[in-house]
Amino acid sequence: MNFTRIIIKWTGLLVLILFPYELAIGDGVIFFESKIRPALVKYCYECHSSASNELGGSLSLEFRDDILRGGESGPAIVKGNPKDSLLIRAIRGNDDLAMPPKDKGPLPEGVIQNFVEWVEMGAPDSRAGKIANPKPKEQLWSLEPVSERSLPEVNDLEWPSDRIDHFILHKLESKKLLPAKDALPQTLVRRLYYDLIGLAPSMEEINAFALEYKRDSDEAVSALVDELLSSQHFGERWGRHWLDIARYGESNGNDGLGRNATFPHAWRFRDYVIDSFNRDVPYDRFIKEQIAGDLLSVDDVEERNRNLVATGFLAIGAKPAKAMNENFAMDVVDDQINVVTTALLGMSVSCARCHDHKHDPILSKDYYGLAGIFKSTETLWGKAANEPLTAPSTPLHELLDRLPDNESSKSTVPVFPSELKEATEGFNPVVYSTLKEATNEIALEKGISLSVENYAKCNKGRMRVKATVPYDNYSVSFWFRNDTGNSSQPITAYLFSYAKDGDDEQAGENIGIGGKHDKSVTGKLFIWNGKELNQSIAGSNEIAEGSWNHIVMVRANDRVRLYLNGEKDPEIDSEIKIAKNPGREIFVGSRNDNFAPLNGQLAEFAIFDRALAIEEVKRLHAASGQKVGAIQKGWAMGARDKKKIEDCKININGNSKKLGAVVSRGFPNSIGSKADSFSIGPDSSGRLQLAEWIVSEQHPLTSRVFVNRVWQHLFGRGIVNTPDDFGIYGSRPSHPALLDDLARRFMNENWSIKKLIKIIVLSRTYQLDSHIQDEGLLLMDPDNIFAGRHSRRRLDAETNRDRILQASENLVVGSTNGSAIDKLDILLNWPPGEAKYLHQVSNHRSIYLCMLRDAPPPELVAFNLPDGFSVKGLREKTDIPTQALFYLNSPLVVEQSKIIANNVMGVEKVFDKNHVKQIYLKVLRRLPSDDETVTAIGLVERVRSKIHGDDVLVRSCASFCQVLLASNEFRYID
Amino acid sequence: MAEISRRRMLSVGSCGFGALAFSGLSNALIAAKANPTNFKARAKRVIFLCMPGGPAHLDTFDYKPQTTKAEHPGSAFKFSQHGKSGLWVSELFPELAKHADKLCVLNGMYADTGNHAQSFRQMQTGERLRSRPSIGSWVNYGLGTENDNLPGFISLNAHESFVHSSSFLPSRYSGTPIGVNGESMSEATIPNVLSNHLPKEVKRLQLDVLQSMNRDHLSFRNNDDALEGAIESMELGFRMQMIAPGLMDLSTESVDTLERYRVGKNIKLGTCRPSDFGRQCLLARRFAEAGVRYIQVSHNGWDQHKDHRRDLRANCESTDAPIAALLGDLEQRGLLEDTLLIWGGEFGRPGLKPSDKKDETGHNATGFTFWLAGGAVKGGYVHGKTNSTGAKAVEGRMHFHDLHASVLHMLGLPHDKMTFFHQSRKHRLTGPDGGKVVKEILV
Repeated sequence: MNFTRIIIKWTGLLVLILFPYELAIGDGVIFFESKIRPALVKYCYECHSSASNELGGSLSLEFRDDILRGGESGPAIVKGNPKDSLLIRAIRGNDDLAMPPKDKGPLPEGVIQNFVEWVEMGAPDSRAGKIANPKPKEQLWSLEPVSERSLPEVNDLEWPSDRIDHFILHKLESKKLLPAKDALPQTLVRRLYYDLIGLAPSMEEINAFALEYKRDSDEAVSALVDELLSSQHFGERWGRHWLDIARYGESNGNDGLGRNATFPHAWRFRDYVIDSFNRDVPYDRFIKEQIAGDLLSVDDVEERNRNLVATGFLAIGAKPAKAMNENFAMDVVDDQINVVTTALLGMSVSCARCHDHKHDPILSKDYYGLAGIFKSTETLWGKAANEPLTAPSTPLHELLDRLPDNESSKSTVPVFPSELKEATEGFNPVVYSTLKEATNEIALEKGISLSVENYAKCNKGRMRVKATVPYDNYSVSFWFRNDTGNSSQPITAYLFSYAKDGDDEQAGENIGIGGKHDKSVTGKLFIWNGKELNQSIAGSNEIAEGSWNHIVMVRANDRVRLYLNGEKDPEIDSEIKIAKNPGREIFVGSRNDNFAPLNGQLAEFAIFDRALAIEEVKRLHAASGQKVGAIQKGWAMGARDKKKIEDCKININGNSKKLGAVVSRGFPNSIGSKADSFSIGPDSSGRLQLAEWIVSEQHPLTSRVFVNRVWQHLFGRGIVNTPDDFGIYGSRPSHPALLDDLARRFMNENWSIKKLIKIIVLSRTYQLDSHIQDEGLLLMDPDNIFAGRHSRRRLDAETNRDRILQASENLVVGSTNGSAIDKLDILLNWPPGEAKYLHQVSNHRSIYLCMLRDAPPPELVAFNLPDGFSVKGLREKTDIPTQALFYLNSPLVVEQSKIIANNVMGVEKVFDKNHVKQIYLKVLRRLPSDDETVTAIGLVERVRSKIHGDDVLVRSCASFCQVLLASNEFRYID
Repeated sequence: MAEISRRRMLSVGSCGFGALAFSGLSNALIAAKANPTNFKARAKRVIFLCMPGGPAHLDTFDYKPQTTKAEHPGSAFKFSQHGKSGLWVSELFPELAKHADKLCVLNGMYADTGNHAQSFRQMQTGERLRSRPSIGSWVNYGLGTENDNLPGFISLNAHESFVHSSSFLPSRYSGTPIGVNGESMSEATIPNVLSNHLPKEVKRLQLDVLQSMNRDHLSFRNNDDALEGAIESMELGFRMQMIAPGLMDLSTESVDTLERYRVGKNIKLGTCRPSDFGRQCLLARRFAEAGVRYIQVSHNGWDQHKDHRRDLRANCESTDAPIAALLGDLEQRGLLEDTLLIWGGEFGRPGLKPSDKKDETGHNATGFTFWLAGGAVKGGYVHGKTNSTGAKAVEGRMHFHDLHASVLHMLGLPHDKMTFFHQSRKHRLTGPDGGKVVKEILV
């Protein structure tokens, strides 16, 4: 019955505003009773009253307050103002709200006039009351404040070791169930390794732990947990969990035009997440950084960069194509609202884009309050492969190596003070030009255009400088910006060339930026003296694409020094022979033969017929008014406030062309703490306030949702089994008091994730065996809802691959510090049929593999990998035959089996029990039984007799290694 | 032994994986139960010939001759009537035209949006904006597979994962993609289905040892559906690798067959990209014969904005003979009567003025064409119509939801009853608004 829906919908959000009722019985009320009420009953109540099956547009016209409050599109009337009253607009049928519905035909003109008159009168209305008695059928549990819980009674006082255990045991006892026995230390240590770092312990580690455990089990577990929590692998394991709900991906995913642009900078967000878990950044801070990192104050540049990278959370989502999509901007906003509400609050607000939520207490205006916040936010996703059909190009956050003096001047065209001209001219240049306008001394070739705003824009052209300077003593100074990706072509760009026009030998001086031709100099400045002498000296700093830089090159006889951005120490300082080649000319923006011309900008060019002194070099930079030193360290996706802050109008039915009432920027208070203290100022988007509202200790959802996620990763099942849905139709908590108790403890521990994990894994409940003697527990609780035993779990996609590489001793420890596509701003698999495979073979942990949407890493894809399109708090665990095929035939399993076999066999000629033992230790991390040894030797012998060719023994041995890698014992954790 | 049998009993009792995996008709039965009216399936499987980009309906199947003095947009290519039915087919499909009497042309199709991304998604999943199960997954969910050694849903040459994604349906109903990450469609296969690192008989030995280990492992653990499921799944994967590679090996086909399907023939011209559509169609036939429920093949490149005539011709040439061969073979093998073929893309294109030099088209979502064949659809039949310029569907209007409802209907699945509960509500392929089964097109 929809009646209950309505009740539920209004629960917790009904803010009663008491209007001064017009109590006087006057003409107005008589008019209402005689003209308006009958019309409402006749024409409107069918869809807009408690008699209707479903409230149209969530609008009730049954009572005075209903009309004033209005429905999804806002209040139905504005007293005294028919023109602005939605109800009048609707019955006049002159826009999208046309009412009654077409099939019913329009209202008689006389009735319409009555309504107009009535609104003009101030809409007198004698119908007190509200459509429904707001006595809730069910108060949504998750919106109740997180309360202090006292420990429940238990019969067996000996059993619990932590508060958690009281709650668990209480429930079990109430169901007349007994918990399983404690897990053996050998089982527990594997479980802890898997859960905390995603790797397997070695046999030695297992034995050492078992020994300690025997001595003092609590002490042993506590020490091991501390050790694992401080491992760098902890962040790699738990960071991946976060990436699942951050819908992480390194490409856009197919936009519908078959285009799938890479996100070459997304990996920084991945590394940020890993690092944050390892540093145990408090969860409230972690959230603030991701939603509003750009708005937080910082102490140092690392913090600044980290905060900016964190906002990638808002930018890495998949976007539909821009082409012919008028809702594009709102699609981006929708993704942001969805990830923020679903990932952090366990409640999706997204449905309210098109209509008031059907079940959960979320209204369209809640959605558009949030939408205003994100519409006032500029999302920085970068170039999107320079495909405007896909998504228009945006700037990126620029990462710096020191805090900027003035943040706003970065990356835009530098503003040079007039002092620079004076300083430069003071050193008597042979030729000097700001490159704002043409001069006689510099000839512009095709592709160069000068302007006051942008200086010389270089689109694969060059400038010829009409001057000659001595080959052995001269200096050149200029500013440049390069827009070509540093790995997109063999040489990224030539900036300057002092060689004969068209000379194939390039004898002379050539300054360029390295490309993919030589990876050791990619993105770095180099000086080359031509083919014959062929000396090439490169600098050490990578010149970031899109950054403005200043160089001064000084040749003094055989010595060349190249200064970058006013640094005291030269970027290049080397003996470079002088190529003798009469007839040299000076080219800027390209090489003498027009190879690898610059795509970017040039400014403030000056050439001198002598070697400038170091003081003069410094002065040239100081006079520019720009900061000393390398400008930046890379780029990051992210978000920042727009210059123009604006509220958002309701998009009727989610269509950005059909607009309803304006909604002030704000939070969905119906699903959070009442947030008066977080008011949003007129000049800010409100992201920071949103973040503060979310991580307020009063917020009923934030801590519960996260604590539940952690519990789920440790037990395989959440206390609430729908981690992304704490709404009406989500699961109810199996242990509500426990959830609240943990949420409280989490906040009391200053939102420390590591402490939360430690609390949970030190509980007796976590340490139970997964095997039970009494199958009663199995029958009564097949899904292990009551946690009377531990749930057996399958290795997930990443852990599976990591542990295979661990078994073959091939796992590379540490970060890749980048990604297979971090230099590629291109479309994947484009054009169709001529695709380029972008994944690279890597032995790093799986979290570092390139997570391209719609083209995931082949080693992971079979194992329920999240697709990166939406929040995925709970991965599927389905068993599908493609997983079996992975173990049977995949290159990874086949190759690593062979590597294990090679490691074990070496040059030996006989396969014996010692080899079996070694293989067991490497793969299953235990000793084989005698029977198992016999079986293994039997298999290897039989395989050996059936195969031919090279390495028969190793391949036979590998066939057995493969069996172990495919075994359930390897794939499941007890 | 007693231990094992008790476990088996428990497994049945708790509806273990064994009971659910590739559960055959179980969901269909549920669906049938939910709908007591006699719902007779008229098709057992579907082959969707997917033409992304928006095929030009007026230059293929929706004949629009000039009707007024002043030239108006219409068909820019010649049409003639074919078969007993006299169905109008464009000169661009000479081979397919020979099967005109098998085609049920839907000229009244319309879509919500002329945006590729959203319309294509809606064509595949019923929903424009959000992740939803694809129609293939719904069919797989509703009917299960006919062949336990093969996936129930195979998608060839799909460039978007939602084409084969089961979204919130359990992933066993997702499609198995062939040709992802831009592989050549002349070589693409099921991932990891083949490896010759060991001979087949050795793989069998390996499997025996593996499964005996797994059973030992299980015997020390309480009844565990997941572990049992993994054992079964391994068996299934093993059988699949024994069968699927052979099924995909076209070397057993005669030269004549390969020629009829134009296997290995590719055109690369403008928007028309190589897709080895011949191989795709021949594989589709072999999969259909082997009992795969839902097969999608795909030829990209129908978004010919510039050089419309040239590129459209190339797209048609790439697909004409393969589709004709597929139709012919299915009929000859008696499979056509229970195989439903669907041809179409996310929308159509506006017409050109035939004698006009202008050779550029855009998107037309308000009216376009799909065709069906096989199953129990009327052959040589046209349903629906667009106005005289072909811009707008004016009769027999069909939305994707109506198409989906009709397709499910033909498979014996009631579109309004076959639902899945997810995130607070029941979902169905045809969305909250539902679709309408178009009975007129059925025999």
